[in-house]
Amino acid sequence: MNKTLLVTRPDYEITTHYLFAYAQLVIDYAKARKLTVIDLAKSKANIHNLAKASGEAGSRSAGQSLIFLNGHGAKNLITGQNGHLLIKVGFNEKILKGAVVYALSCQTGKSLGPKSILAGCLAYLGYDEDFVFLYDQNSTSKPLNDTTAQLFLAPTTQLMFTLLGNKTAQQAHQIAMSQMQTSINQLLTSQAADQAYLVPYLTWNLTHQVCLGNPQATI
Amino acid sequence: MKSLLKKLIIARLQVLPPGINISLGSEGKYSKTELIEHVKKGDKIGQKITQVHLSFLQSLKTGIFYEQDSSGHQA
Repeated sequence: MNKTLLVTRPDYEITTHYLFAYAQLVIDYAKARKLTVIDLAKSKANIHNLAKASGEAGSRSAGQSLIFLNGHGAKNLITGQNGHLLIKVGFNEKILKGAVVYALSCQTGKSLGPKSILAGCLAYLGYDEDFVFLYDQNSTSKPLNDTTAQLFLAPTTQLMFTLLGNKTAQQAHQIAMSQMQTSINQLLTSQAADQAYLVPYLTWNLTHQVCLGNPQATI
Repeated sequence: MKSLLKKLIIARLQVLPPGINISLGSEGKYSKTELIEHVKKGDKIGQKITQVHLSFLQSLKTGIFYEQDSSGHQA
């Protein structure tokens, strides 16, 4: 059976607009690697489609599914289009069973992640605090051209590329953190130093990225 | 929030260039001017951005900026 990438990527304000654009890079990469991609974009990013798609992704016991959740979240939930509920602890976290999950969202590593692992999710990567990024307000129509936001979102994309390259959850976690660390070091040691103001925010994301469950899990 | 701490965080926020905004996830997006106002008020957003900066300052003494090898050990 083909490996499957399931993506939720709402797009209704600036933060989700940036995540939506970067998720396209992951989708293109997965398609190039011949994965089956289920793209729940914009209004498709809702609880009904997610329940259906997670069933279609199937074969969870074989660890064939990678789930990439983009959107606003809190410690016990993650949302889809227009902030509507997608997954909540005690309600439907079991739909992550058998999958490797990366949640590019705020705080879900505090509760939704651990509870998903208890429900059978193989590995859950995310953040146990708010994921922050800076952006150029003149680049919001073309997020991928925003060199400021790129410092924050390129590592998250690299994390997904690593998982799609059959590396383990722990390796993906480490590679994303290493990329953030490299950016921080470059910003701190640059002669120009004109973007050193970004360092506290990169450090925040670096500090709060978590890898839960089986660190050796792959798809 | 103590006055000295507010002054410190505001000074750190002042270095943000014009046109650069911050997405604080589900807390929303903010310009430099808006963030400074929140810090002055000491509200939830002000406390969040303060937490980000204090966390960074504390990390300076924990050695997070030393290069790490693939096992997570500091070189």
